[in-house]
Amino acid sequence: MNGNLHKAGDIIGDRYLVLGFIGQGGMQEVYQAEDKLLGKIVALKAPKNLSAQKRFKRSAVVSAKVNHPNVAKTLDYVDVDENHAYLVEEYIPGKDLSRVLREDLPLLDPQIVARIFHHLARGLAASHHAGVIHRDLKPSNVMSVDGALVSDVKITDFGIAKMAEEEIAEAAEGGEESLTASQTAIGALPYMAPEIISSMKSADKPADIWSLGAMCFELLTGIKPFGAGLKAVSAIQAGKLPPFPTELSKSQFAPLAKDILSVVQKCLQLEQKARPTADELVKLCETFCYPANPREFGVVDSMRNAFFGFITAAAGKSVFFHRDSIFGANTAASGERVVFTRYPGEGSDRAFPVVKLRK
Amino acid sequence: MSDAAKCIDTHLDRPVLVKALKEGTDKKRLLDEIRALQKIRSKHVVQIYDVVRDEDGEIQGLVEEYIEGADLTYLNPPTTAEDLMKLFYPIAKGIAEIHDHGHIHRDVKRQNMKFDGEGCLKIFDFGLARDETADASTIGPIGTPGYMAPELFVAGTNGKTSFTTAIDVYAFGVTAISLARGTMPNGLKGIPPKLPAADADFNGLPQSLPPAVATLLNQCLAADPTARPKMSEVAEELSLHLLHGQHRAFVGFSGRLYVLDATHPAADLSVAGQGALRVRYDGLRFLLENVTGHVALNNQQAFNGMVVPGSCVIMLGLPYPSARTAITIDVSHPEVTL
Ligand SMILES: Nc1ncnc2c1ncn2[C@@H]1O[C@H](COP(=O)(O)OP(=O)(O)OP(=O)(O)O)[C@@H](O)[C@H]1O
Ligand SMILES: [Mg+2]
Repeated sequence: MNGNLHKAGDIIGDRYLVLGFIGQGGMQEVYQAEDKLLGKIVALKAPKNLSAQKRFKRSAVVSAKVNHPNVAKTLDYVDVDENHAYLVEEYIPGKDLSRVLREDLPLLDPQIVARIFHHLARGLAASHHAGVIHRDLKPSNVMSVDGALVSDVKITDFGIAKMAEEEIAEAAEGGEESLTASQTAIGALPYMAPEIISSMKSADKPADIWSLGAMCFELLTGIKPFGAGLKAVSAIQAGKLPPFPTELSKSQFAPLAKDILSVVQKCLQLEQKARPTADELVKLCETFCYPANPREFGVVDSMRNAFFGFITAAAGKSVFFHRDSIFGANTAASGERVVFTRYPGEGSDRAFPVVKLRK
Repeated sequence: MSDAAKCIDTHLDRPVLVKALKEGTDKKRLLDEIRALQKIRSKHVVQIYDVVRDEDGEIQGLVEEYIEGADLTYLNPPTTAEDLMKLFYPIAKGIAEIHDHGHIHRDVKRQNMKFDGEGCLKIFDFGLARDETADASTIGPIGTPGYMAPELFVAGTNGKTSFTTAIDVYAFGVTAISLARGTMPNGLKGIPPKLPAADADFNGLPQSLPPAVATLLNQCLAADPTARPKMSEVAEELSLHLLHGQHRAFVGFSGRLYVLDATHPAADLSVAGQGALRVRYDGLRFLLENVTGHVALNNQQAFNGMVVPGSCVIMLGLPYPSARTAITIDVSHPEVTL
């Protein structure tokens, strides 16, 4: 894939060397670049159309106000000329969460969702303290360091949402045709709070809380809580959650899944005032018990019997696992790719949890 | 005092700190060193945004992230052990992350750290490259009196001092004891300091740190650099104690799940003819007791006092073809996000 604005080798603002195209959304193109001055890799974001440029600057200023480890850092803003402006952001090696869901993990285990929820709540609280509302929280705007290993999560595109707002507002008011015509609106809709659907202008802090709740529901269950497309509108306005998938009631995972779901429900209250504030949400998430140890990729060797098997990883000893530790399944076939956390053991190490990757 | 001024970045409309280079800075090596620092992935290290050059293109200063508020020099000492450990933990963690990336800070002290508006500790002012040919005084020890480890006063055969990450561990120890007391102990002010100093003892503090923590912190002030712990060990011990009473173990046994925590600290598990044991929570760790019969933890012979690792499988009974019972134990706790 290539960008329209730049190719590898372009130099921007005498300082940033374009290395390649990362991707694009409705509003911007994103490139990987090298900061020649400080010798580090950065993400370079450029608005797609010129009319958006003025608002782009405003969005850069807004995102620069937020400084938190769970928010992608704004590093620089380069105004090359009246037709070219760039936001320089911390480059995050990995994938956004929508790609992780699409390419790697159909759903995530409660252990990692609890950690994601906690960290995103903290990032959101920092932005709300700075008076910044995200307005467009969704999996594609959360970067996961190391992709499916989720070593860390960072919220991006704080400012861009304000730009998207007008496009989404138009689309939402224009009905089915314009909604489906707007990629940005389609992507945002499943996570949109009911008050935003009624009037884009009413986007306030509680709308972010709703979006975070909707997103974490999807991460945990693999299901968009209110569906996708136009059908989501009435489902959101009704505010009713679908039933909880049964694989999550597996004993090893059930207590934490239940804890997360109860916090999700608090976020998805139709009444804005009934939702927790970001600070209250952080307090709720602080009670989650989860291992924060690093994860790694592996391949299932074999199940030795109905109860346990072994995993081979790129480095280190072979890893023993019990079937109760497999998330969302009771067995694993040889050759299946998994993500797991390793604990030291004699002979073999031990894995918990074991989460299967998409085939 | 370094020359620094709060300025506004007019592009992004946010405050930044513009800092003049310290006298004696080796400008030729400065950029290389700043570039190397960029590789450190730590939320505790202040971000450098840009450099300031003069008309000749020579670097005169650095543009850094601006952190609101006062540094830790005059911080009121916390009154409880928990608050004291909450203060120490992010400092130890930040320095450990700097060390993980192969760097030595070289100027760890209370003046070089601040908490930002979100309560995140930030460490700044790396002792950057110095021009070693400039004048004799720079060949001598660098750092700040009181925070300088004793080995920094010993010149090698080439007239220069050599040092390791242990100088940061020592400076951390001085920082920590000074934060705990509100002032730097007089016993550490000698040049070089006479160690151990009677008034720099983590065991006698009014905050009453857990003995294991106090012992480890005292080792940070050891005269012998090799006797000091790694910074990551200190961070780990602090985080363990910060979680006192908050751990939880999920025990899966014959299709049922039992939860052990501070309110339900023990469980007896047994299968007739195979083996028996008790798992007990002591506020920090889950331990095995009353082990009888054939009991293996992660394939290792279990014994009384054995600590349950983060996650394990306990097998009761002799290996195949005998009947065996598997017990899974998964320990978790709230994440320390300081
Ligand atoms: N700081 C970053 N570091 C690395 N990759 C990034 C960074 N920010 C964004 N990306 C990647 O760039 C791609 C495009 O991002 P963009 O925000 O334009 O699209 P989007 O969020 O998917 O769409 P939308 O316009 O609907 O919000 C995404 O795939 C994302 O993974
Ligand atoms: Mg985006």
